Amino acid sequence: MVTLKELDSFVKEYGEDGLSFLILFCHLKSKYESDLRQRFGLDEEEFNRTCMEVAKKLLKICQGQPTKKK
Amino acid sequence: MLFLEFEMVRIRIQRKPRIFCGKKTPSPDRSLSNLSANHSSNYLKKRRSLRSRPESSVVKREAINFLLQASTSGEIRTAYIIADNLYTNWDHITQLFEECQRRNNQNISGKIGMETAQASLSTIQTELAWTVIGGHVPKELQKPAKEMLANFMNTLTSAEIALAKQFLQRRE
Repeated sequence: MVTLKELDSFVKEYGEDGLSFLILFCHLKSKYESDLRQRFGLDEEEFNRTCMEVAKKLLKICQGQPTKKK
Repeated sequence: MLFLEFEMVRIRIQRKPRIFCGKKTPSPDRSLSNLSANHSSNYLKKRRSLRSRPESSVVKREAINFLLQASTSGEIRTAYIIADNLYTNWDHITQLFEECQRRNNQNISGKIGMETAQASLSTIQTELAWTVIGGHVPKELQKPAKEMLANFMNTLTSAEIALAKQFLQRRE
């Protein structure tokens, strides 16, 4: 578990985009962990990197979409 | 004796390197063996690289495609909304949390164990963040948004934050 204090420096450095990236990464990691491990046999490092790449791609795809409030 | 001398001269002549157009030519046997050894090692290297690299990259690509297809637009939208509201109210939330933590440390930590205190802290910070941002989340997304926020607050670790920082720095 991480405290908001620990998150603070990340949020100040990477802003809103960084925060949405982190939230999506965390969500993908917890929701699809068993599926990804069973199907593809990824180790921890590969699994983390895959989730991060997907989170980044999803956010990139959705940039400029009405889902993001300006 | 003469026969012996003759034999020694014959052996010396045989050992001399052959001269062809003024250049020494290696014995055909040795050059062939070198060639085959080089060829086989190159072949093995190539096979190994062919076996290891594309397989892992293919698996990774498949995993990425799987995730891209599995994740829904609702999830992305929810993540955006949570991030947006958290970011907008960030200072307010951290101030509230620090105050809560101070009180918690005084009241709880002395009486109960550190683990329980931390567990209650994670629930507290989720609830605290939700009280601030919950009103801004659309009704249809209230439940998944709260679940996503709770998951984010409870499962995220410092190591993951460091990994995310590394990843984002490399991509910039």
